[in-house]
Amino acid sequence: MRKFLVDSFSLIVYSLLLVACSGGPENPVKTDQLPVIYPDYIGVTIPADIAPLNFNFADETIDLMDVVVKGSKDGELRVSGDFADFDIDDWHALTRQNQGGTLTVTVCVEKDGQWTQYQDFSISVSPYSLDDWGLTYRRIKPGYEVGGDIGIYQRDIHSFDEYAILTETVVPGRCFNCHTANRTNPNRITLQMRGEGGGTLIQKDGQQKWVETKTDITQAAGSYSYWHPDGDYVAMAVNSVHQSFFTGTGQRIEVYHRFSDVEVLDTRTNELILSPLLFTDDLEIFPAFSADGRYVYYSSSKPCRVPAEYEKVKCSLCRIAFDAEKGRFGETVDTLLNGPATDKSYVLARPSYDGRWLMYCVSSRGNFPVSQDDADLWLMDLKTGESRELSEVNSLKSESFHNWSENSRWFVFASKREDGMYTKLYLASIDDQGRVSKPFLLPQRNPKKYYFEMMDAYNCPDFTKTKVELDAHETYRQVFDNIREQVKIKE
Amino acid sequence: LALAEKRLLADRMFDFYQSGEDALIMPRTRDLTSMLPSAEAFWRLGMVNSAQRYMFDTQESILNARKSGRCTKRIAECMIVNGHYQTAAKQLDLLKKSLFYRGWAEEAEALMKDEAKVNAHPVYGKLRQLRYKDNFLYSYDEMDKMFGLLFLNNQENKMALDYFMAQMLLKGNLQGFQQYMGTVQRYGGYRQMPLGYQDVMRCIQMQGRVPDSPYAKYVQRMTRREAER
Repeated sequence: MRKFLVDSFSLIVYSLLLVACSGGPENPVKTDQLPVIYPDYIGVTIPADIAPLNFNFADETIDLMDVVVKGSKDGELRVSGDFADFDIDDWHALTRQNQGGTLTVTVCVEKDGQWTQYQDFSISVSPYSLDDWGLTYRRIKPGYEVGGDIGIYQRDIHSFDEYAILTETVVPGRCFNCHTANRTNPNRITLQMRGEGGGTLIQKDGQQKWVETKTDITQAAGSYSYWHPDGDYVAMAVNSVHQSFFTGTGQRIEVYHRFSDVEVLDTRTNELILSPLLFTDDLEIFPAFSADGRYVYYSSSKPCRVPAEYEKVKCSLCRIAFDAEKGRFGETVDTLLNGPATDKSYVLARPSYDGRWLMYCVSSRGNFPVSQDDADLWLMDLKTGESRELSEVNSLKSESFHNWSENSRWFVFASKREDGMYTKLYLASIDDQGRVSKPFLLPQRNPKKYYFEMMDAYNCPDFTKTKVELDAHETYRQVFDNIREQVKIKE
Repeated sequence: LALAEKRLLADRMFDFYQSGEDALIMPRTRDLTSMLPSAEAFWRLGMVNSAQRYMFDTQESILNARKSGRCTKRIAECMIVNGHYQTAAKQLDLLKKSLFYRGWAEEAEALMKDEAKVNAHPVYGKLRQLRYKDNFLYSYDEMDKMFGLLFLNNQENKMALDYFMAQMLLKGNLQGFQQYMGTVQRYGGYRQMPLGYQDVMRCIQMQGRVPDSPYAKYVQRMTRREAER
């Protein structure tokens, strides 16, 4: 009997609350201003099934926010609270219903007992799907020469779930990066560990092997890797990376390389394929195979006395043929974009997997764009050879580390636009004509709290088709048992 | 640093053990204590970016990956001096959740909202006057020049002048030391030549043969160490 009374009382209270909440804002004052929200999701384009675009009101002193999202085709969502916190399943259903349409968002805010209704804004739901499972990225403190507790993580982009792939706690004291899957497919993964006891992980179909890519001729271990579409070759840069530090209040760090060459590792035979055209006094860096695997794109700059002559580092964007059947490079180099002639530096060429576009970074100097404040993304149409700045996604701060989704309709990039230091990830879409949408910040459950409290910078983001499986125990064993297969130079 | 704060560096530096060129500022090293004295010296000199860097790397060297309130506070202060309020706010937010730094963080957060107050702040305002105006790359190997440029940037920065002269002495750059004695006379604010500099000048005149000279002993020790290498 007592239980019945308690349950009845709860039911009445719940019903009253439901009635109170379902009414929405009472007599709101309408304003023609757009709401100032974080992240700025106004006018962005998203894929269906992406994690909910939760947002906060910029003014934290509000009492309540009421948000209604209406689909242009069908469906409606309403949430109320400190911030817009949408249910994942409801959001997915709404975005699926409105794929190719728009979502109209009405934001009402209560402050000091008065409701204000802001001008509606829209979010486009792209007709192009984003089928990849998620993103992989490295999280690192935006520091100087000590890496701290760095880690490579993966994030389900359809929810808010993040999983560690490899963190520094697994391999204490080791710095690692350059995690690279083959065109978003994690059945091929490579990852490089720098410094003492370093090595290069080659994981094929779940089998780990660690190779020593440094030889007498190549001077250093391979890094900045990129898989050949066939999944047998990995292009790498062999270099020595350094940092210097500015005294001014702008850019903090200049990253430079004392030498750099490009090579290809045949993972079947552990042989390095070299070319005299890629082992020169110039600095060849950031290789990437073309979509068909017949070319290697890379950047090249003349040697300078760095760090003193850091402003003279101007990279050209080049291309050399690669014959996967014979495992050898072509005899000539094409210069696609000439750095010294245009007084610019072109780096990080990333061809779309459908062979249509080539995205790259342009900055005034240097070959490490994430540290260059003026680094921007540009796009080359590989049909016409024409290039243009992606002004839709660029900011006054650095944009870099871009990568394509498997279907080449989406790209992710890292940007320092918010505060110049803590790099965050943004996604944008591209259509057949090369029109690019306004990018959106990687969604989080409570974005303002999450990003404000996040003391890591994101870098090296990439899409991953499925969840990455890496046996951390096996990694620990092979790293600390110093198990390495020595590569040799292909004759 | 203590001597410099009391303007006794020029007088008494070589009365104490000096380890070599790294005596005033240590090179970067990956541990959680060694760089703290150097970071403090950078801060007080006005080398704000270097103070931030040494503190950041010290913080990241903490083995259990936790944060140090002291490091976080100084990093936030460097960011405030440099006007990087957004990133400073992140550090302050951490400190606001701590037991001992909360009050300070709340005050600093309020201060940041008023640029005029930051400029008028006795420490941050002063450091804004002392820090480098020109943008160039830090060079540990040329620390004497770094101090010299810092002094040229603001000739009221007497500590930078003292460090500049001291670093030349640590390096054994006696020609440079003599060359800038006039600058010390003009800008140093000393009523007479500091005892330490008098000692060095005697060493130069007597080619090191000065009994009980602290600087002569330092030079002999460095020469011996070099020979042993």
